[in-house]
Amino acid sequence: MALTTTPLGRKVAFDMTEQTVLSNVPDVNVRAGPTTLYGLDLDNTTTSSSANWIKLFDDTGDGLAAAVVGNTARPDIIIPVVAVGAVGATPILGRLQAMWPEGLPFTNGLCWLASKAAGNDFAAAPDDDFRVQAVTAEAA
Amino acid sequence: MGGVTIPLADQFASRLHEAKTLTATPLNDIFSEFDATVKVKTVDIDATANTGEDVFVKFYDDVAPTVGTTLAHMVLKGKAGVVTPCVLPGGGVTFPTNVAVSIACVQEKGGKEGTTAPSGVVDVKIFAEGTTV
Repeated sequence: MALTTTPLGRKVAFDMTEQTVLSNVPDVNVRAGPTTLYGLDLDNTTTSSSANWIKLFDDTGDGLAAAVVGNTARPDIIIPVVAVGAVGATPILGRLQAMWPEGLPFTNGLCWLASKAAGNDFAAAPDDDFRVQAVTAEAA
Repeated sequence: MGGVTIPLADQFASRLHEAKTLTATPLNDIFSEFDATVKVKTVDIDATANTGEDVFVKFYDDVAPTVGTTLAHMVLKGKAGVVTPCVLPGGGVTFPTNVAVSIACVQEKGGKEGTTAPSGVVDVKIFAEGTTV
């Protein structure tokens, strides 16, 4: 599991933050403060058996891990990505992009996790590598 | 409150659903003509007239969900007082279990709980593609 943020270029006012192995333990405040989300690239291609859900929180991250364990955390965004070969799988199997052209503000901070179930069920982590690349506004 | 699904072009098997004044009362199986696959590709949450709070549009892979009890398959946030478009290019989001898309809009964040309708008017447009058996 590795979390990194890469500036996309001096003339592009965006950064790209990547988590190569999402788990059901949240990455908290990945931009170290408020940010605006423009896009996600979700890669579930190494998982052959199950869909995974990414869950995004507008949260400073303080206490979020405990709230996840206690199942009191509530995501702002929940997006499913089907497994490779699943019925109705996307043309690029196991890949999904989501874009907010106007930007989606996270006024407290951007946190995320992934699990194998819909809604606020955080109990089971993905079986295999489930990667996210997020394009956000450039750090101030 | 009400919704209408508009055939865009049968050869593309695409539909645009306009949910006028979406509330916590679900609109069920809005793409019912798609019974083999359904893929949501664009969602436009118009909360221009809802300035009091952010809203959360919940999508259920269920023909008749119980809002507040059924786990949402997908949740998208709409910012108060503005239009929040979300594009899901490429494959879109599939609803594989029941091949059904039911929707509701509430004030509470995503997951399961939450039955409080927005304080103002929220209109939602959903573009989807699908196939039939």
